Amino acid sequence: MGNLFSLYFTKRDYRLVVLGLDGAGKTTALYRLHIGESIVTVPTIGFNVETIEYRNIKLTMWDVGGQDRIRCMWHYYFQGVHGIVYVVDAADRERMYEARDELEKLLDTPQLEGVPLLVLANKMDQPQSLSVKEVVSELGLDQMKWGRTWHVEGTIATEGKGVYEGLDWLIGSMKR
Amino acid sequence: MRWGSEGLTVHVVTSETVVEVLSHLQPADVSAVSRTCRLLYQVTQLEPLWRVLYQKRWPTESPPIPTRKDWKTLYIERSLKWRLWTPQFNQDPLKGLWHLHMEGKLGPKRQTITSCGDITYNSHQEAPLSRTDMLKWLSTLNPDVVADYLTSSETTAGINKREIAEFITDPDVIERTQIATAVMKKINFGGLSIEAALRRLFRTVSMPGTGQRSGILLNMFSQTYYQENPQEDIKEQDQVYTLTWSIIVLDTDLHSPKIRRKMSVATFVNLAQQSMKLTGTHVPDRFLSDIYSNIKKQPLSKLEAVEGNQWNAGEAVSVVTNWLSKWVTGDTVKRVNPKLDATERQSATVSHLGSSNIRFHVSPYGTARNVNLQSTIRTRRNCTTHYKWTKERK
Repeated sequence: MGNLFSLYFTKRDYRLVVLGLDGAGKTTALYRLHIGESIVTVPTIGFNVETIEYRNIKLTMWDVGGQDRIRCMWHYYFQGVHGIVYVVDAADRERMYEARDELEKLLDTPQLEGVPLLVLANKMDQPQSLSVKEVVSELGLDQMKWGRTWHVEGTIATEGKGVYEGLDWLIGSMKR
Repeated sequence: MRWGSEGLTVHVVTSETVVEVLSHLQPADVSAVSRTCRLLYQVTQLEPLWRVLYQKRWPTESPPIPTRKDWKTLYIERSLKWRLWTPQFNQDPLKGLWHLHMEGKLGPKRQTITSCGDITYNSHQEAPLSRTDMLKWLSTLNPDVVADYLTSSETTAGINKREIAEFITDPDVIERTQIATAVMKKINFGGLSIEAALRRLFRTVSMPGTGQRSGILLNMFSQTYYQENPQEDIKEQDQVYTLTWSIIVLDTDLHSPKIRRKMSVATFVNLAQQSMKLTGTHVPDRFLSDIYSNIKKQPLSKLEAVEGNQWNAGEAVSVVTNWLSKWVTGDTVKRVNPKLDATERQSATVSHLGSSNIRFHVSPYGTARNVNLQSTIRTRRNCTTHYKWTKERK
């Protein structure tokens, strides 16, 4: 009974970090999930931090951009992160290598050890897009040595397709 | 007619005194006063009052010689002078600039047409061009003139600062024009500390929506700052950039309600020092801890940055709701809407948007009414929020 109660009524607080190369569709995916956000926002100075509630779970997402220079500052925010969302542009074959490089650097961060990884293979509606399978091999996920669970979801962030499905997987693996 | 609890009678006071008192108010408040009674209405229509208000608002301008028009009309016309292009700019920056162009404010019209001769358009059309053509047209403009319009407080009244930021960090605009550089130069960072320069930057622009664009903006800032302050302690542009980002992260950390656990001085100094180390330099700890305490005391850009922006009631509700939603959960936000009963064509001005107190001025069809929203936000483990609403009829 206690378990059932907590399942339905307690809000869990999960912290996610959303990353990816520029133009991959991070912001679009972020706003897709951030339901209820109105168009007019009060200007604040800083980076994007969004809190969303989804299935009784409170998610804090960070869009930390690609700011190489202050990598150590971002690492501070990686402490206690429960899940990584990595967005790649599946239509941009040329930059896939760069995306892989960035991802490897990211997964090497000690703070993110063992944290589940969700890869959103975005822009699946484009004709030249790689398939999910191809994305897996391009990013070298199948050869990953690190002990973490990962999942690749094909998405069309502009239409919201796949974003929730991916998130459901991530929530499932974070609970474990 | 009695004034307040002291029972001051207006008849006793001379009209000069009332004018003196009223001249300290904002025009919107003067108009609210004028709606209270016939006597005060007459007082608010007095010529000297509007002359004083005019001179206060535009002190450097030689006042126009009032011929047939009275001072109040002159005041209104003057304040509307730049109101027309800002809504268009907020909707689409290119359209806003096109509007200025059509008014002949961005240089002679004809010259522009001939200089991009392969574009054909009717000079009376409002937004005649495709984005590509618009960008082509934009590149023919004098960047300094455009930058003037984007940085002067006079012409940007009511403009959305984020739109300016989005516009000048637009890769297409950067590629084709020098507008972004010109804007940075106009803001003038010479002789300021990095922190002070950032504060000045955010008086003109806001941070763009995405991390990528923010990077572009701060990069431009660092470049300009570095050029304008060559003799400063910091020797390289890269170091300015790193320090700038560290300050931005700190500002978000300390002032975003979405971040619960705040950074300590020691953490900030340590992290910033680590970042600076990567650029091959070391700054005094004291320098960083001073930045920390300054930012803690005052955010880089206060919410008051939006003060004076004109919104229609719907937008205002949306802004406030949004603002509140950062602290409270859904059900309280819902309560905001019916209370304001902001429908149709009411106009609302946010007269104060501080950290814990918003005052709304809603005027539905000529009846002035103040809606005060006081929110006390107590942060314990969860946020509990109390609102007190007062509606006064004037």
